[in-house]
Amino acid sequence: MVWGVIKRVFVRPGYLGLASLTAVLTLSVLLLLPNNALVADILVSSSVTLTAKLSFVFSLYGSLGTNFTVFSATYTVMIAILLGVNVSLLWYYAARARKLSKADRSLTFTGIGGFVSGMFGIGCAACGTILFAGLLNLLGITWLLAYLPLHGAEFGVVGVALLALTLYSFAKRINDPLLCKID
Amino acid sequence: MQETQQTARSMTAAAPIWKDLLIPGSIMIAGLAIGLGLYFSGGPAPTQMAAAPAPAAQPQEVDRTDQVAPVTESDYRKGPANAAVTIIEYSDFDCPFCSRFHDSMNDIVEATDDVAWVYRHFPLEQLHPQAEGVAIAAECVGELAGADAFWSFADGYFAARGAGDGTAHNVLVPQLATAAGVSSAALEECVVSGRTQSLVQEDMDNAIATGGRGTPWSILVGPTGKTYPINGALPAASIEQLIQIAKDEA
Repeated sequence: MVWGVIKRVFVRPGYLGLASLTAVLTLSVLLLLPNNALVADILVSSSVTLTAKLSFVFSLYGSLGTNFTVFSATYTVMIAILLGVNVSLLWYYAARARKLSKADRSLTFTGIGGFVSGMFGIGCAACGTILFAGLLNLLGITWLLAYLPLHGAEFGVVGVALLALTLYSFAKRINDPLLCKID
Repeated sequence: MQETQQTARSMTAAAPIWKDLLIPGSIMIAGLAIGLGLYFSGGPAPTQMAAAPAPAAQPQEVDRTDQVAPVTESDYRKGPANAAVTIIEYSDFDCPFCSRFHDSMNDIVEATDDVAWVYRHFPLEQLHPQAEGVAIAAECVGELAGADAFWSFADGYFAARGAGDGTAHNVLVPQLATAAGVSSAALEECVVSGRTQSLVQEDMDNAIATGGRGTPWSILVGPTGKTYPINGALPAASIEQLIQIAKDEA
């Protein structure tokens, strides 16, 4: 059912493009964020050629292989792809339904929760280089890290699970015929 | 018929779809803003550094890499002292990403003669409870047998951990120290005395003061003294390009 819906939606180039763009942007943010200051400094520098700037930025995508474990790289890519597919399915569904029900909105929140949870997992997996460290410290629960068996990668797994759940639910809603229910 | 008209009317009167997306969209933007705010605020000191003195709240946007402690003869360095570019790394012996970065840096300094690499300590206590002890032992090896012994110990430790060697710390550390020319008894005397602990602490304090939030945390110092922050284990290709950019900017 899910695969059928995905094929039906993504046969339209617009939705495929939206999903791809969202996934690439998400992955870019997750990979470049730890070095945003460095990237910004180089991009605005007048003494660095455009070729050198682009070459450096693209080389940073290689950090998926050096700054992540195989496990964390896998769920990072999955989060980016799932988020892209979710956004496209939501757009497709919203265009058909014209109005989101309360349940639809809850589903959207779940997807957002999945993405946010995924970001925390990604941060922690790379020895605290992104968001997770700051948040835990802010909440005064830094000790939690030591007790999590995967040192925070759990959040990435939860993120993937939540995004997969919302994808399934959106696909199910898209698959259901639009009916005016009698209250 | 009447029901159909009512349904049609209610669908026509339905709020535009963007209004339905307004709340979840706002929450998403707010969530991202909070997350980015936490990140850019410099957050509190690194999570793993709870025991270390946290610097006064300083925004992350303010580049603090110029507060890097000058490289001195007491630093462990590979590459020439007068190299055009110096990369100062703050590292954790038990961090797997540091192990990868260590390999990349070894390759880079071997391939070129105008890059120096300085190794400093930034053990993340809460993630790697034994890392500070290894750093203290590494400093002892350096004190007792010199810089080459320090590098022999560090290279051996990262090679073992990078290869997935799970030998217990209390076995691997004396083993590598002995291979580097320091007897187990001398190592133990030095570690127990605690005299190298302050050196490790100084490095940790400087890592935090310069904006380090995780490991490996590095600062590239270009020919003009300009500093470039490097967060995490960047690929060797990125480091090489950054070295070239630093030279071009001089």
